[in-house]
Amino acid sequence: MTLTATATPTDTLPDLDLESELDRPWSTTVWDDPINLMTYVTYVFMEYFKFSKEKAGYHMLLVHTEGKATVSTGSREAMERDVAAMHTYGLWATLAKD
Amino acid sequence: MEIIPDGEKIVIQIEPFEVKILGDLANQLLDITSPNSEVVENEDPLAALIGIDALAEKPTDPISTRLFPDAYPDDPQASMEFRRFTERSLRETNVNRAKSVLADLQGQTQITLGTDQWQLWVGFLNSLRLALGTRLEVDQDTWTQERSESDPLYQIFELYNWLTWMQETLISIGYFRED
Repeated sequence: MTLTATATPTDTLPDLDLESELDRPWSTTVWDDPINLMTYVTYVFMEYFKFSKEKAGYHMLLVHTEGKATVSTGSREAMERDVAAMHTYGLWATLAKD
Repeated sequence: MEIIPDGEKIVIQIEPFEVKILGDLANQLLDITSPNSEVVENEDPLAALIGIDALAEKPTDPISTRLFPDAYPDDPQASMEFRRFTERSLRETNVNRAKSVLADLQGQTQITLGTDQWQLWVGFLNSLRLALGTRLEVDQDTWTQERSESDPLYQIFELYNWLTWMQETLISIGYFRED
């Protein structure tokens, strides 16, 4: 990801609902790439996943610093929809069974 | 080029030489992303109607691989199946964005973007940057580096930086303006 804006990690972590996580065997991962802009990735997460700006920024920074981030979990069909949408935005995304 | 907010809209003031450059790039992107016409002629019409591409193939060049990536990292067969169901529509989205930008550029010195058109431009610029950045083999450090004018990729690098500025400016004015 290209760093053209200053961003700092917030200490607001997304809420994890363990109960529903267990029912959801597939997940969508967005991978870091050196071309997509940090502001663009944040915009995509806010626009498509309806994340708050803080949550979108947190996941964007995870992608940037960890090399990848899980952005959604659910049924295989739902994850295929999310991955196809990410590809339409030009983000490098994959799905896998957890 | 100048990009300025105008109420809810964004105005791009553009010079004729910039119209020419963006138009050329849009046409190149159309070449890369257009669905293969031979495939269209030989396919099952019902499959075509619902956007399935029975003859979709995994791309071999780096730019197409980046624009049309595999969906399953460890499962080539599932990736291929996913590609058959999604690649046609992904290509069409790219084609529509490029054609829409080409139409906006038609003889204009000032282009006004509402929300829908703004999204098309941002997506178009992103695909272009993915194509050029892949060609330049951009890595995490490249964007801070200068390239010498004798570098054969110097002009592409300059174009890439220009597109980066354009996309960044459109996003910060069009989406994060309140900040």
